[in-house]
Amino acid sequence: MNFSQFKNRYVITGELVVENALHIGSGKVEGDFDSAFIKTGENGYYIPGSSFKGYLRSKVEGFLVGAPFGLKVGTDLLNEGDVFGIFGYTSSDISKDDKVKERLSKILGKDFKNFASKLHISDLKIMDNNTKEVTRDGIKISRKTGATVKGAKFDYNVIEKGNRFLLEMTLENIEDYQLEIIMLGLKDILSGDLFGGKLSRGIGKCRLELKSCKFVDSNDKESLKNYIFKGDLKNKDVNALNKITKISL
Amino acid sequence: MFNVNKNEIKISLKITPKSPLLIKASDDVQEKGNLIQWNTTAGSKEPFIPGSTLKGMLKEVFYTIWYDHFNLEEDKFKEIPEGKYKNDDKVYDYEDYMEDVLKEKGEDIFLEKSLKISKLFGAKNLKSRLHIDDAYFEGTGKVEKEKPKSVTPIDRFSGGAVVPLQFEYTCDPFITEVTIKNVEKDELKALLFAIRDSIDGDIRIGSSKTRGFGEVELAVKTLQYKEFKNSSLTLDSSNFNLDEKKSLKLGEDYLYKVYKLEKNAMENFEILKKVVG
Repeated sequence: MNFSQFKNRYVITGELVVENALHIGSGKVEGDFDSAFIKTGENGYYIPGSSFKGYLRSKVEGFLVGAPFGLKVGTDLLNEGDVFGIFGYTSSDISKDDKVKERLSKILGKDFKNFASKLHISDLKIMDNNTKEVTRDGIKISRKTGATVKGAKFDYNVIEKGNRFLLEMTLENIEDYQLEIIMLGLKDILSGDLFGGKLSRGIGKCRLELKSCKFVDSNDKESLKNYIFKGDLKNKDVNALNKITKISL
Repeated sequence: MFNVNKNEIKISLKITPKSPLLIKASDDVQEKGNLIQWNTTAGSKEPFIPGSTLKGMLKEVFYTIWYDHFNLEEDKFKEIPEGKYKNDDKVYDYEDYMEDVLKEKGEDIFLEKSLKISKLFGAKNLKSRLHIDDAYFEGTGKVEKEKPKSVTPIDRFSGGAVVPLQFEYTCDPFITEVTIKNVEKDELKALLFAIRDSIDGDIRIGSSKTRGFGEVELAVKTLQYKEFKNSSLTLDSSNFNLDEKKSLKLGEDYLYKVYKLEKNAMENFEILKKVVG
């Protein structure tokens, strides 16, 4: 498996729907807010692709690190090596566990010191450009006195429910079972899951609606030709993505 | 702790006000005059109870229960590092100490030393496992705007009444959802105590609690329990129904099973006692 040969390409699009309110902190104090929603320019609210990738990676790690459930492809036991095989790694990230190294060299076919991610997630841009941010206040209560703690008031802004962000995920040279691992990671958010910051304060419930899946496979010469010369990709049924057949327990 | 999938519980809670309930809007929203307004969403002006209010209320109850149960005495918030006790009088602040421990000994020791309440509700360096949604009206509830409740303050100097304060309020039920990841039995038991306390009339939320506002009763509407393969928490599942649609089956085996409990609220309290044990 290497990137110098083109094997396939999937482009999956969807919409992330905010179900109550969402906060993605910009990491700095802005204007009057202690924690402002991240944005570019005047009203360019967005969710960084890295945030979504981090969410997805942590979900996948929950299934694979330490092989807690014994997920298998054929007779091969999946472990953290499969996370590295999808999300990439640099040499400093390689686990000391021999089983992980063994799995990794099996997936990649060779020992690489570093390996690029097969997954690319664009920044998720907000679909309604007229959306206004809303301020929420928080306060710390002293457990000893029951009263509010002086100076402990803080505020942050959120994007309110109903707003949608556009997700575009590109996968390159991906194996079928790796696509299934990604779909396992997305399983929770397809029915509504917690995402973003300030989660325990009542906000952050989001639901992903998959809209389309387009792909090209190098084995299909006709569609490969269409892709190279016209840039066309074939449509795939989105619901078919949810069917997991390669991975077993 | 967070990368491990053991189980997840989702409880749909009904919050019924037993006395007028008022969650004040922030100062930026309040109009001038004597009317104290309800908290609403900005776009659709829909009244809601923020999750942070509910989390604070639950934390208070859990704290009260666990304070005695786990001997969380005040001094425990100040830890004296081993070996430094005799030679050095320096007493570390709990959170600072935790940072030192984290640097020196790693995550496992940090988690072990963390207070139970922090492990559930989160603290500095520790993510909360409990999430509680903003609560919205269960059906077509409304905030009483036409006939607000009046409270007449007395001028302490003259002894005379001043212009009454008008409070918007509601008595209609709200609905919210509590999600706890990798829940433990103690946590479910404490949640039951919170429900029992609310039935006894001991729980108040929102503004003007000392003026008789904010008494609420909690009731479980539905309960969903997701249990991963090899999970360690065993609840009495005789009262649950397996939800095949939400469970995930890979080949012959389940990666996780989702159970559902759907009964009337008060009945659920009794069933919950059985389930939790």
